[in-house]
Amino acid sequence: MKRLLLLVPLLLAGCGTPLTPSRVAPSFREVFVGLYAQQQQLLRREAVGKVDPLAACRRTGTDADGPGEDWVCSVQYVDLGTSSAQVFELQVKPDGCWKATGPPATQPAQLVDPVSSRPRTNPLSEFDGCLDTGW
Amino acid sequence: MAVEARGLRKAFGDVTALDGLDLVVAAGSVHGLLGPNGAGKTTLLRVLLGLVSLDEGRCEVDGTVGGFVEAPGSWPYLTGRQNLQVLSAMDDDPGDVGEVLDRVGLADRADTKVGGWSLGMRQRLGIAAGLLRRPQLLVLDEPANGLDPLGARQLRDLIRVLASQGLTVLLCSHDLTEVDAVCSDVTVVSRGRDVWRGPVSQLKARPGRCLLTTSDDARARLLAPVPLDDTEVGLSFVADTAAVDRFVLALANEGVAVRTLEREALPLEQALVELVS
Amino acid sequence: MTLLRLELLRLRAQPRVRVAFAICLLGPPLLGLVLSAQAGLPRDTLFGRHVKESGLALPLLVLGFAGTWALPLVTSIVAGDIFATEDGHGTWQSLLTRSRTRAEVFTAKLQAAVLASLTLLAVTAGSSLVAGLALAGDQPLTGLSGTQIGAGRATGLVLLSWASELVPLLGFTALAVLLSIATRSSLAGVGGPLLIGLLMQLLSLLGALGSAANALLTTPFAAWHGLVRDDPYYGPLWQGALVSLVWVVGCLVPARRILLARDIT
Repeated sequence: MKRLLLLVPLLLAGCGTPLTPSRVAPSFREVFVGLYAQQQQLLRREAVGKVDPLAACRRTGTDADGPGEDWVCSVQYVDLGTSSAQVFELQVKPDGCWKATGPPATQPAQLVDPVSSRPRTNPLSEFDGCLDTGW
Repeated sequence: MAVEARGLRKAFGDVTALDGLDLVVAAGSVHGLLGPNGAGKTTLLRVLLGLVSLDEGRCEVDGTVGGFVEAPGSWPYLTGRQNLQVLSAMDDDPGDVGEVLDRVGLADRADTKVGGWSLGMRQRLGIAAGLLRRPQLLVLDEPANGLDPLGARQLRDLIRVLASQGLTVLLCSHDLTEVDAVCSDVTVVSRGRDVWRGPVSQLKARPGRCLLTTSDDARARLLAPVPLDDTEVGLSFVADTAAVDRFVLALANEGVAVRTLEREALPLEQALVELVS
Repeated sequence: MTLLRLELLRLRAQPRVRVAFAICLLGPPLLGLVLSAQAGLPRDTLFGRHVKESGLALPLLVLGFAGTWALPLVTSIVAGDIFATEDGHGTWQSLLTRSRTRAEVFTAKLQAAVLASLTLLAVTAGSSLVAGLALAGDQPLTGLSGTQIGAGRATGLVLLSWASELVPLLGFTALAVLLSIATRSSLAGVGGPLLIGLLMQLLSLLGALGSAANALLTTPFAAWHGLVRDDPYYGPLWQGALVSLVWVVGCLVPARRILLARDIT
């Protein structure tokens, strides 16, 4: 009984979902930046440093937030003077973790190592991240 | 006194198990607890062992209590010796595990897992566990359960030996032969109350139903100390042993021959049935 | 011998505890072997896609998998049974007619349950870490912030992540103890927490609770998501600790009261 009473204010305090565009976007952006650097390293483009992209996320369905498979995140960045924009599809799970899938045309599953000519997994083709779902 | 309990009351929900029961057990005696199922005997033993709390009443036990109620428990995945070692480690001043195993006749099987033991062996392990506590009062609930006739006799011998060493034993049993053989006193319990208590010899001497055939029933009726009932097979009456003796002597004096005199059942059993009905 | 040592002695002798121990020890290496023999990767579980890149991914894959259902089961195998088993074997009267008080017996059993859960958790963590390193080596691990974490630091984070599971695990231990005492049934003591854990997972999966899901005892199992990063965040871990503490107190106080007042029949 005591336990239940303690739960009541917690329930009242936090009925909103933490999975909002304003929390998904920075999480996605952070991982993208990290993996972009990994990808460029894999392609032996050592000169490229970090990119500083703009990222925005939204749901394409009727709901504005919450878990779902209909999230998309668009990312815009400038790399060596070239401006690029890509759209990733996201599955956002209730526990705050998400899986992003890149556009197959620009982010194929595999890349070729220019030095060894070996195929390598493209880190940006599919990747995971998690955001803080705490109160 | 080893046990002095007055006005014990205990209910489990709507069921009254003890309803103002008194129990007095003399130190060093082997005291029998008799009564039908559901009379409250087991609950009484649980109270003495501290397993059940009382609703009302006062229960004083002199010294430590050991023993078990209903079937004694054991850990099947441990050996007999390990079972006792665990229990011995929980006592402040335990007895010797090897010695108690020896006393109940389990020494040669002590290092096998209890899981494969027979009911009788586990019963003896329960007695060993009780003895291990070095109790002043040993409580045994139907200890002969699952024992073969030889085992039951060994058990009776063991109880006698224990009693001769000064241990007080409270024995709850359905087996009247057993009670008759080892107990000096009994308390008869019925519906949560003690209905009779005293020496076993007195219980047996209580009025019992007798069937009498004589050479002259009409004269016998005149001499009878109690009312007689006519039945197809003879005269039926209820009297204690002393009264029956006097009646038979009186009949002889008057020249009436006693052809048969039978008690309808074992005296103890009959006494018990009359007390609790 | 202390009561705790007696409880541990009896736990070690129980077949079911031995089986649980063997599963925790051998499960992760077996999973690792199966994964390295397969062409595909378990991409739907966190770190599944990195299992062949770095040996530090396997312990986190196992963690993500275990946290959802295996850990509640692991703790209830011991904690859900440790009291009810005495009802099953009729041994309460043997235990409670000795010189030790009921409160002492309760404490010893609780300690034994916690220690056993802790051991099983540590064995699973250690075994999956060793198996991962042996099968895939100590290459840097891509963390949940998208950056690579060196093997040394990643090992520390993996161990910290596993240690963070202890928080909700203790909550489930307390829940199992309560069910074990209240129902006097090993089945309810072991199955109950597992069922409640699955129900909580289901509630979370439906996503309808929003932030209120943080009050569930299963949510802290995911608190490690904040740790395997360049810049760890600990918020969910502290919240999880608070939530678990409420569950622990809410379960253990009535559990102890029930055992102390109980008529052993």
